[in-house]
Amino acid sequence: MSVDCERYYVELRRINKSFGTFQASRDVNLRIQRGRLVALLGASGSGKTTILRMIAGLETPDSGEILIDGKVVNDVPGSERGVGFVFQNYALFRYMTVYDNIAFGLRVKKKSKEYIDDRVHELLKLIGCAGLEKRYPSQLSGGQRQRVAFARALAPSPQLLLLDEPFAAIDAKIRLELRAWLREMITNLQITSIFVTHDQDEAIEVADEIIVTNGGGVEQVGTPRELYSHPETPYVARFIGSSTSVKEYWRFRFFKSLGDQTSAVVRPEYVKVFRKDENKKFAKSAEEGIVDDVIFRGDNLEIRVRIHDVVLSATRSINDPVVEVGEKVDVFVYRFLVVDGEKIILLDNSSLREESVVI
Amino acid sequence: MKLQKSKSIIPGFGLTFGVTITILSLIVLIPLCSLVVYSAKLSPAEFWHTITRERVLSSYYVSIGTSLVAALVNVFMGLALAWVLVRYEFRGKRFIDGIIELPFALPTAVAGISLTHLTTTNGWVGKIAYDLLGVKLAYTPLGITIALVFIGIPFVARSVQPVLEKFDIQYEEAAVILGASRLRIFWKVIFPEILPALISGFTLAFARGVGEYGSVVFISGNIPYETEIAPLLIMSKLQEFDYASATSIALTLLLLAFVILSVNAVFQSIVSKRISGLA
Repeated sequence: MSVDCERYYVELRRINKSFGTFQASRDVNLRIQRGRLVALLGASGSGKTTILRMIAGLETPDSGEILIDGKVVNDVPGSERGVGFVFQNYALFRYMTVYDNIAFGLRVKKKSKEYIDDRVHELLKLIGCAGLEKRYPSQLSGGQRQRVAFARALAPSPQLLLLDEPFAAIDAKIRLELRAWLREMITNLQITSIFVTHDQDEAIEVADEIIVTNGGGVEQVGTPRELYSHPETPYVARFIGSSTSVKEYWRFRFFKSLGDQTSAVVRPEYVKVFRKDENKKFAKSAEEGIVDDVIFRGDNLEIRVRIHDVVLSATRSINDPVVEVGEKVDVFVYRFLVVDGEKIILLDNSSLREESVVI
Repeated sequence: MKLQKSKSIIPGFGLTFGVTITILSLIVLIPLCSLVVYSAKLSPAEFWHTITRERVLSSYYVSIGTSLVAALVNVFMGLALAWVLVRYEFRGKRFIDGIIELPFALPTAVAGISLTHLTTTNGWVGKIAYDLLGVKLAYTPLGITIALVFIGIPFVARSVQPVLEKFDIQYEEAAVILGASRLRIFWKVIFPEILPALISGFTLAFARGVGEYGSVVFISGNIPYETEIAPLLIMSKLQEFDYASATSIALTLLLLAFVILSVNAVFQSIVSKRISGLA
């Protein structure tokens, strides 16, 4: 028990929460280690924000326990949980300057003027907004607002930082920049952080660990790599990465049916498309398909290929020989994620082993 | 003439602008100009003499004083009313929401008569006030203030209500997590948001109070130098066929109203610049 408290900074035990007839949290169990940067990933309405708000004390669970630093905090008000919260729309106080916004939490705590002044300037420097202290939030760019909201949340030195869709309100280009910035910031500060997002790319890129939520419950917890290569549930298999559902996967060569399971999921990374005249690795095991569509994606081409009455997606490099729509091509599928009830079984192409032996 | 050159994408500017100017002229500008024209029949010295007679001055004093107090009272009452209607759920909420406008819909004389009836030393409220506190309500500046509070309350309530409704709960939540007390949240976070609406409601209630006639004449008792309001003085000058004096006093009230509304407009534009990032 005491070991657990040391290791897990935030813990949720059997949390349930309903809003009227809508159950936002369904028996949620979570453990988050100290110093980690964790993403709560899910579609809208999956209950991810509710979890975040309950940790912050903005919502009260109907049942279950929330522990922060080993202590049950269900009855502790949000202001005493040592958390910082960055809101989706930042919620910067519009009638206060940047300085007053950042200083707000410190003034509440009745810190000395000198301390507040030092701390605000230190934070302004940290977020790269020195010199903007006299501006009002309306005079800042979206990225600057987010940084100021971040600084305001950090000002009272919280142990836990919670961020609700931190990048949702920022345009695509700056978003990438801010992601990297935020990751670096949080890693340097070594503050336990949880952020909510519906964007899997964001979660995969920024987080050490991802918690996938669906229908109010937790589907899977793991590192981005684990979720990608070993999805445990059909939902995660479909949600992470781009995917195509295949009904009768056993019709593909070198794949055996695993029993009653009727469907599988396949990702573009698992499908390889070759021109007939191309040198290829798995020549003998490839099957013939017809190119349905070729979509230019900037840095690569997405090839939609029809095979066994399904259309699979694959990517090809821009530098590869061109394939045309209607062309007959060779298709090789490495792996299917077979849906077995509520579980996922990884099914590899059986020729992979054999051919590697031959070659 | 320049209007035609820069054509707006939205059609109908010429038509709507024409209608606006026509109606504004017919209903507002021309009558106001006639005030100036009538007053101009007096020489500047006569005009000055008319508007600075002691009785006129004291009527301004009564009108402005009671309106100011009434508008201030309305700021608190209107804020409380809007707060209750936006923040809480209770039975009869829609009913209360609906009757806020009653002072607008009711003929002001009806309001005046019923308020007078209530507040004389024999009336329900007036008797209690007199017996307990020894305060007379009707026929005193206090009575005028009561009538003006009644008339002015929708202005503040209806100005603040939509602002409170629009106010994002996230701002409060942000302040709560930062540890702010409810009082601090109200003063530092909510109050600045509703201040423009409060001031706007205040100035409207104040301006209306200065010009209010119907509800006040009954309750004021119209004692010269004490409870005689400026609009009543205008009325009595008209009855004496002294149009020049009447319009002179009216012109002064008009200027006052103009100043009040301008101050509000300037304040609002400063605030909106800050919010929109143009300051």
